Amino acid sequence: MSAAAVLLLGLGAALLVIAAWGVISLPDALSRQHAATKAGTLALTLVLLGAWLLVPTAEWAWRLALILGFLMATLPVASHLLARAAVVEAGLDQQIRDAPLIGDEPH
Amino acid sequence: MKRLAAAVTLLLRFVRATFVSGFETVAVIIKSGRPGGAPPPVAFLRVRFAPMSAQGAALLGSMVSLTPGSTTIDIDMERRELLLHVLDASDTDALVAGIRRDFEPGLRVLFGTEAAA
Amino acid sequence: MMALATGVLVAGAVIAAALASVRIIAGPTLSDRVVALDIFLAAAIALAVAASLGTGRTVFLDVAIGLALVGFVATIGWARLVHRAPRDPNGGEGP
Repeated sequence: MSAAAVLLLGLGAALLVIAAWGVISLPDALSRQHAATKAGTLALTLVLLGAWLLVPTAEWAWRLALILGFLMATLPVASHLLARAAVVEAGLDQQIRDAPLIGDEPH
Repeated sequence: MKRLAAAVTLLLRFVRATFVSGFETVAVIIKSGRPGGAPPPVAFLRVRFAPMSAQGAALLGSMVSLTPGSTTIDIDMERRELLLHVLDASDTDALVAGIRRDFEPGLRVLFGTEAAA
Repeated sequence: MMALATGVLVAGAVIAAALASVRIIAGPTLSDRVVALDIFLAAAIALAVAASLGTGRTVFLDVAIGLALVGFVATIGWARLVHRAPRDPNGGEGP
């Protein structure tokens, strides 16, 4: 139990560093945004799971679940608005109008 | 009961998709982040979605945003299109297939408006 | 075991915050800086979890709950600002 928890915490910490590295290395704000919000949240999910395995009591469990729930509820809103603002700031409106339609019709 | 089953299936599929594509995003970062690595093939794309209510479309957009590698920029209810920014546009078929397979069936049971089809 | 886990977590969060600082200083656009703030938020929550693992007290988890709740407010406020601000044809620093 404890070894799995440490593994999850270590993996979460490593993913957090990789997410931060993505923010450094990716070429523009929109792709950096993928790294920061998505990989960062995945890292935190692993950290919270690991913490729950280390201390499997109810008073920890509901607090950890609440953190994860708030993150999951606010992340799409922040990510969506951030992407829109980044598009406006970088002046990519034309690229958006030219975006190709992919995939078949839903059936 | 059918709606409850659909909601649970949707949640499980969503969690799985989040983890799978989370690690794919990490792979993209590692691949393009090392010295001399090529930048990822980013793209703006439009994807049609199945007829559903505005709430369903908002939930679909949020789920696509939470699934790493793609961010919803706009939802066009009239043309039923999601405007996405994707980090790895090398396999767009898999992206569309993932949305169709994982998210749309459950959302159509919960929020579908078949009259609009 | 516990000490090892919290040590790794703290190290990861500090490195992530350091890397995000580089991006905040370098910019070049406001979007980049706000994106780097998201990494700071994640690192802060990870540090709060590490603090409560280290001390065994849940009060630090309450801090993390607060952070998770309000962490996105800065992003939203900034996004509103960009939408309202006059457009800068040269890109760059933005409003």
